Amino acid sequence: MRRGQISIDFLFAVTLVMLTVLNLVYIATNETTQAENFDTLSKLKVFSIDIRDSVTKVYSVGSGFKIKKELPLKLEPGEWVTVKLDNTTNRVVITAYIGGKNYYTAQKLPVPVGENSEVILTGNHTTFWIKAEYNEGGSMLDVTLSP
Amino acid sequence: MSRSRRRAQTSIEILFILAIVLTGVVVVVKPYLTSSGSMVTDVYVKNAAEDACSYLNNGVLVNDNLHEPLNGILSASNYSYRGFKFRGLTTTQNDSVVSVSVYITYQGSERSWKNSGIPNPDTYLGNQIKEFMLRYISARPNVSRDGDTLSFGGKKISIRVIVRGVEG
Repeated sequence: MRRGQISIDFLFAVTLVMLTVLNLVYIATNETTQAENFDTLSKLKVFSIDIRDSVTKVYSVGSGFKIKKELPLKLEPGEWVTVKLDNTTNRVVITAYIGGKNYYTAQKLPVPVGENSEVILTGNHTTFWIKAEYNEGGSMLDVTLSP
Repeated sequence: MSRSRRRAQTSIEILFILAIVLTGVVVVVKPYLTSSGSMVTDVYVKNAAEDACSYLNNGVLVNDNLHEPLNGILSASNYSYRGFKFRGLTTTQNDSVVSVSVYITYQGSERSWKNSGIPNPDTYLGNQIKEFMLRYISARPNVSRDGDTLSFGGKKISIRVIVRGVEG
């Protein structure tokens, strides 16, 4: 065989290797999408549990106490997360629009919610306060969210 | 022997060798593909079932077409952890149909779903998880879906999902 000429078995080998590599790339892309999706899910879950615990803590410390919270996600323009304390179901409700998908989760609160309150978090506004105030009219402690 | 004749001779030898190599390849590749095909089926089904379980345990709802069958379960379980676990699968194979049975358990009994207003919780869970798995697997390449069966590599796959609650 002349030098510089590619032998046919080498070509076969290259084809087989290419097939394997293509398959690997395909599987990897697939798994990455799945993993990224699950990453957002888990972060939202952790965030909801964190909010639940913080609300409980603020409630137990009492009137005048407040905690600053920050969203553990980076939001692109157009994406948003809302956090809501719902007094009818007594839950923390989180809704989000991230990467073209809508997310929703809820956590039961062990302390009573006096009134509904809600914050909307966006890319350049990711912090909010959870504060407790004594409500004279209802004679109970109100935990509210405020920007 | 002239120069051109010798060259022709070499190429015929190479053709013989190639023929032997290619026959070998065909002999080896065919059973490999068959076994790899049934293994891929198992892997697809297992992945789908495990993804369903982790999605349900995570308790965060995603509003898309793929997860839609599971979202009813999520709101029924109040977005909380229910300990869904993939326990295993068994496969039986006829000539053309592969039947896969998937076993999934959750913590607590069937009675724990009473408040959610679902009449037959275990059957409902099974059907919804099955629908999710069908959607999940049919999104893979070379898999097509026809009603409740999937076709993959010339074989039909039917899935059965059995969900039970376990105490403790």
